[in-house]
Amino acid sequence: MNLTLHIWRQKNANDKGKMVTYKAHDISTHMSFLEMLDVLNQQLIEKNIDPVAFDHDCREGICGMCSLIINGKAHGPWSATTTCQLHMREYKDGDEIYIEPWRSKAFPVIKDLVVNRGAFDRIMQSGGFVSVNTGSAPDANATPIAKEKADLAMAAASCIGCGACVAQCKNASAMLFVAAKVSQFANLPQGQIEKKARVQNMVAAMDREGFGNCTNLLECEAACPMSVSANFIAQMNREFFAAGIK
Amino acid sequence: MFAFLTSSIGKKYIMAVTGILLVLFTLGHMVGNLQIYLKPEAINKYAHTLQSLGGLLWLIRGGLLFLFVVHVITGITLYLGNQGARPIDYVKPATIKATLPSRTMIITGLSLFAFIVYHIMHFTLHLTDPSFSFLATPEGHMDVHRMLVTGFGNMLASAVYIAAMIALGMHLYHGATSWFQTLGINNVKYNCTIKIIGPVIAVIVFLFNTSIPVSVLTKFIK
Ligand code: FES
Repeated sequence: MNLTLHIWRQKNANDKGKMVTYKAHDISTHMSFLEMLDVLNQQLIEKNIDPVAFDHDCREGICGMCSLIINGKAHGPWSATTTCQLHMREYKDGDEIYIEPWRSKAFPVIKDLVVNRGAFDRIMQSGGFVSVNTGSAPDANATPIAKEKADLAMAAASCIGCGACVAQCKNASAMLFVAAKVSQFANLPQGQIEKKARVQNMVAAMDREGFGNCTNLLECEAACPMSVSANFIAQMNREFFAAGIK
Repeated sequence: MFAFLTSSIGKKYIMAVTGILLVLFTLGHMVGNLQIYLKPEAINKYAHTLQSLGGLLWLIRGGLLFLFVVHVITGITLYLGNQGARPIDYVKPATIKATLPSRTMIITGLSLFAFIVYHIMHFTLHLTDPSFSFLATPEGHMDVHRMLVTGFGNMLASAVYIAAMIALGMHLYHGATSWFQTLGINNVKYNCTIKIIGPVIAVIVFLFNTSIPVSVLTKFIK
């Protein structure tokens, strides 16, 4: 099939950038969205046009590197799916697709569709860890953990840090990401020691980076490729309050 | 404490707590006004009782004004911050599941602000129609019943009130549920109930409040 693509082109961080329209030919419905872009790039290179830069790594839906706002939706129209797992069978011949980078003051565009998500790393550095002495691995059953707690921590930890929550949120808020990272520790006994400092430092780091404020629109959980629940935001709000008044 | 209140989550707590109290006032105000459906003496007596509270009345008014100002200023601050968080918007934006009321809180909020200013000028200060001040019951008290009937008898005024109740309904639809999430009150067992509290309050407030101007215009209340 043939497609009309409107893609954000921006040479570097200082360039103003603009939407440019391309025709992509001979796209198979079996391709993934990123493979479609590979084919487009090949066609652009043959015409001596600079290929479109976009982020990707595993192409298995597990690393969180791929991004893209596709027709206004983070990771495209499929729920619980990363861009690399979105397949072209979703589209039909002649479709028009708008492809834009994540938009947030905290995620500056580096080139075309690639943004700098270093803000997430800095939030993680501020508290997304537990301090334990290394040594030989402890006995697996030495620390009993309730099944529900383990499940909650696991659900929170499934966040792959892609930033879709920020990109989809009308307020460009990073609450779902930070909530997932706070909750994956807060639900486990290993995370209790740094519980209070963690939530305070991570929220402070989030605010410093210039993300927006949550207004409970819940667009984040709808866009999340890992279906991380916004219930974790409620948990973080609770933890933050408890840490603040103590 | 200061760091808590100035953080993004702290400001949301401020919105939630002031919001709950304002919702309670809205409900109380509505129930009080529904006495218009009883005989005229009922609402006039109620109004007189409120008027005779003296210092306490001013304390309540001061408290309400404080809640209101804090809610409005914090809301505007959050809104402006959010505008700044996405300096370049999408060329083709889309919404997955955020409801219309949740996305228009700033618009309905500012509309309510304008409405409340008008509402106070209308029925409290009588600035829009000074003759209201001379409506008196045989006992020489304010005739609130007559004031409401005269006030809502004006088509334009009634239209403004009904439009404002649409804005209020939308604001409550999101706000009166949203505070649970903000305060971290979240339990898988009760989430379904929590989700409908806002919409239920919104519909109740909208229907009962709108019924008053409608009843006056249709001569159900005379
Ligand atoms: S490229 Fe790894 S998740 Fe899409």
